[in-house]
Amino acid sequence: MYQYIEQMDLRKQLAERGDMPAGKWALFQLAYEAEKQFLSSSFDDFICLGALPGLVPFPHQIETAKRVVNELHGRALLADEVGLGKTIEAGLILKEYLMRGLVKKALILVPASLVLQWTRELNEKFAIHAFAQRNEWSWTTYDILVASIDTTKRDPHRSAVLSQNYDIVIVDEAHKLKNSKTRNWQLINQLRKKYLLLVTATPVQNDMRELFNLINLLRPGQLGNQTAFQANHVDSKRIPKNPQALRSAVGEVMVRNRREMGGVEFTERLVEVVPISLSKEEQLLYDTVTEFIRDAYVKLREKKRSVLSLITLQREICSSSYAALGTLETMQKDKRLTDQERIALTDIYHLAESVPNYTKVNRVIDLVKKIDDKVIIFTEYRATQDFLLYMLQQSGIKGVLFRGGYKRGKKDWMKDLFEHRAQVLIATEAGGEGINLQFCNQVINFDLPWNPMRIEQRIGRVHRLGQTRPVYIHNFSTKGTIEEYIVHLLQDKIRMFEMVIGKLDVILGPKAFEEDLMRTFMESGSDAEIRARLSALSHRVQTSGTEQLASV
Amino acid sequence: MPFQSDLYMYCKRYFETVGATFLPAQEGALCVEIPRDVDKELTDRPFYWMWVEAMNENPPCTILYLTFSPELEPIDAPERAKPELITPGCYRMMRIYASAKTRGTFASTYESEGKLSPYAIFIVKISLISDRRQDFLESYAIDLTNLQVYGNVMEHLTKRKLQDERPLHAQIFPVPIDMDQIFTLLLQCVRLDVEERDHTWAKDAKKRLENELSKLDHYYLSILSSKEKVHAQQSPKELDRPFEKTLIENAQTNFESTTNSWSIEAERELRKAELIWRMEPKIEVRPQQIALAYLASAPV
Repeated sequence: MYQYIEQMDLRKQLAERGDMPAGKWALFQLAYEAEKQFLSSSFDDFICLGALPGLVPFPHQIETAKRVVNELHGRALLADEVGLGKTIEAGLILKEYLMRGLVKKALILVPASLVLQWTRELNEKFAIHAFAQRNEWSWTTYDILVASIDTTKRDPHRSAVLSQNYDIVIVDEAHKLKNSKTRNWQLINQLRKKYLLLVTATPVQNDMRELFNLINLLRPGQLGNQTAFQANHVDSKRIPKNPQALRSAVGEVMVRNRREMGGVEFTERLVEVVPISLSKEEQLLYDTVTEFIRDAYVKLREKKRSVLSLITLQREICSSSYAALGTLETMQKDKRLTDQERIALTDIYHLAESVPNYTKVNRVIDLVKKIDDKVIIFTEYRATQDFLLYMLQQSGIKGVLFRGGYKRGKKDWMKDLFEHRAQVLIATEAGGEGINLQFCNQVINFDLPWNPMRIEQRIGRVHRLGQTRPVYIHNFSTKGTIEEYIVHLLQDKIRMFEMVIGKLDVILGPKAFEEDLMRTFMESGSDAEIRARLSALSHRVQTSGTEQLASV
Repeated sequence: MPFQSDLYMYCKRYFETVGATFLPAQEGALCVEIPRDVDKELTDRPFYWMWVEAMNENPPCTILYLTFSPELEPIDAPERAKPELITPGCYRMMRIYASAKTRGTFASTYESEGKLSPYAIFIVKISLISDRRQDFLESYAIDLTNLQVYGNVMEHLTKRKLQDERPLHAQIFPVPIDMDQIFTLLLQCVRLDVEERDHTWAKDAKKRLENELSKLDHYYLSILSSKEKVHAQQSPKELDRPFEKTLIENAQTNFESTTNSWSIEAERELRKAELIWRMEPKIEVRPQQIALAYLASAPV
C-alpha cells in the first residue's frame, strides 16, 4: 500500500565518529524540542505561519494557500485580480512546502524585470534563501532560484534546467504561457516538476483556448482533449458554452479571488471628469487630422492594409500634438502615399508644430498645483511624457519619469525619488507591472488607453492593499474629440472605474475592444450614430459580464 | 505572552549549555557573550571568519542582546551589541534551533547514583508522505543488557535528574555495544509500530493516484486514437474534411511542432512519473538522535 523508506544517515554519522555517542544531554533535549517546534503534526495544519514573524497575510491569502496545498494538491492556477497579493500566496505555499520538507529544489520563473524583486521578497518577507540566476552555473549551485523565463528558455540554460528535477516550479505572469506553440509553454511542459503554480491575473485574454493551454500544463485532461474542450465548453472564441460546468472543472485547478468578494477592505475610488475645451488652433489641428484619418481609413480598409498607424495617430492627437509629430514624420516617409496624401500630411505637420499653447497641459499644471500632494500622471506616449515633464519643470513642479523600459534598479530609484523628492510621477503604461505606489492617492489620466485592462492596471498601482486614503481619479476629456466619447463610454456607460473590472479582463479581448472602438469612430457618419453604436457596445459588455467566464 | 517566555527559557537553556557567558541584562532580555564556535553557527558570515583566520586576527567575542517583547525598551544594551527582538521563526531563532539540532544529535548521560545499566535512547521521525505530509517524533529506549525496547521514553526521561559526568560512586554495568544490532532492533520495532497505525491516508492517497493515472491514460489515449483516426481519414476518398478534424489536427500540432525528440508519448511518460513522484504514499523513518543513558531503573 505504501513505500517504506528507512533513512540511515544517523548510523553513518555515528560510524564516522567512532561508534560511541557523546555529548550533552541538555542539548539532546533542546534538539528534540526544536524538532518538535515545526513538526507537521497533521496533514491539514499550516505550519509556516508561526515561522513568519514579519508577515501578516490577509485571510483570503491564507485561505488560498491552504486550499492549494490541501485540496488542489500543489498544482494550481493562482488567478486573483490585480492587487490582491498573488505573490504573497505563492510565497506562503512555497514556504509551507519547504518547512514540511516536501520541497527542496525550487525554480521561480518571472519576467526579467521582476527577478530581483522576487528574490528580495522571498528573502525578506519569507526568510527563504532564494538566489537570482546569474549564469550557467547557478542552475546547479542553488536550490532555490529565481530566473527570467526568457533567459531560461534559451540554451545552454534550457538544457541545464531540463536535466534536473524540480520539487516546485512557480511561473509569475503566467499569461505568457497562453499559447502552446511558444517556447515558453513548451519549456514548462517539458520541465520535470512535482508541484506547479501558475500565477496570473488574466488567465484568459483573447481566447478560451488560452485557459485550456494553462490548465493542460497543470493537469492534462482536466478539460478533456482539445476537441472535447471545443465541443463541450466553447461557444465562440470568448464565450463558454456551459459556464456552470466549466466553472466546476476549472475550480479544481484554479483559485480566483475577486475584490468584490469582500474580506479585503479597499478604500473608496472617486472619479472625476476634467472637461477641456481646445483653443482655436488646436481644434483646427484636431479636425484636420481626423478628416485625414477618416479618408485614409476607408482607403486602407478597401486595400486590406493595416490601419494600425492610423489608430495610433488618432489616439496620439487626442493626447498631445507633440505626441503625434513622431508618427506624422514616419507616415510621411511611406513610399506608398499619393502626392495628395503627402501634401496633406505635411500640412498637418506644420499645423501641429505651430500650436501656440497647450490647453491640456496647462490644465494639468493647474490641477497639480491645486492638489498639492503626490500625483501620478499616466499617459500612453513617451513623447507626451517628455513634453509634460518639461512643461511641469518650467512651472516649478518637480517630476520624475517612469517607463517600462527602465531596468529594475532604475525603477526602484525613480520610485524612491518620487516618494521623497518629487511631487509628480509621469508614467507610461508599461511602467505598471510590479510596482506599488500606495503612498500616493491622486491619479491623473492624461489620456485613456482604449484597453480596459490597462486602465485597471494603472489604478491598481495605487489602489491596492495598503492604500489607506480614498483614491482620486481625474480623467481628462477634451470636448469635441474622440476622447470625450471614450471617457463617456468607460466611465459612465461601463462604469469601469467604480465597479473595478477584473470582470472585463476576462470577458473582453482587449484587442477586439480596441478594434470595435476604432470601427465605431471611423464608420459612423454622425455624432448620433457614434452614440448609438457605443451604447450597443457598452450593453454588450454589461450583459456579457453576467453570463461569462468572469463568474468562474 | 507565554510563548515569548517559552522562547526566553529555550534561549537561556541553550546559551547555558553551549558555555556562553551571561552578562547583566534587564528582566525579559538576555545578554550573552558567545564563544567563537557558537558564533559561527548563529550568524552566517563565512568570509569574515575566513579573513579572521587568514589574518590571524583575534577579535573580541560577539555579544548578543536579545529581547523577547516588542514593548521592552533595551536600555542597558552594551555598546558592542545591537539589541535584537526575538520572535517565533525569526532568523536568529531558526539559527539557534539549527545549532541545537546539530549539537544535540549525540549525547551520553548518567543518573547520579545506584547501579546503572546502559540504555540506547533514540529519537525517530516518522513521516507519512504523499502530496502532503504528516510527521511524528517518537522516542525509544533499548535496554542494552537484555535488548528490551521501551516506547515514548522522552516524556519520562525529562523528569529524571541526569548529569553529563560519570558519577564517582555509581556502579556501572559494563556491556559490549553492537551498534548495528541495536539499529536493526530499533528499525524492526518502529516498523511494527508503524504497521499498527491507521493507514486510511495511504489508501486514500493510493486511490487518488490511481484515479489520476487513469484520467491521464484516458486523456492521452483519446489524443492518440484521434491521431490515428486523422491518419486514416487522410485517405483520398474522404475529401470533405469535417470541422472537428481540423481541431484535432490543431491539437496534434501543439505537440508535434515542438522539438523532434519530444513526442506525445514522452510527455505522457513524464506526466505519469510526476504524478507518482508527487502522490504515491510513502512512509519515511529517520532516526535523528541517539544517546547513551546509564540509568538506575528502566525509563518507563
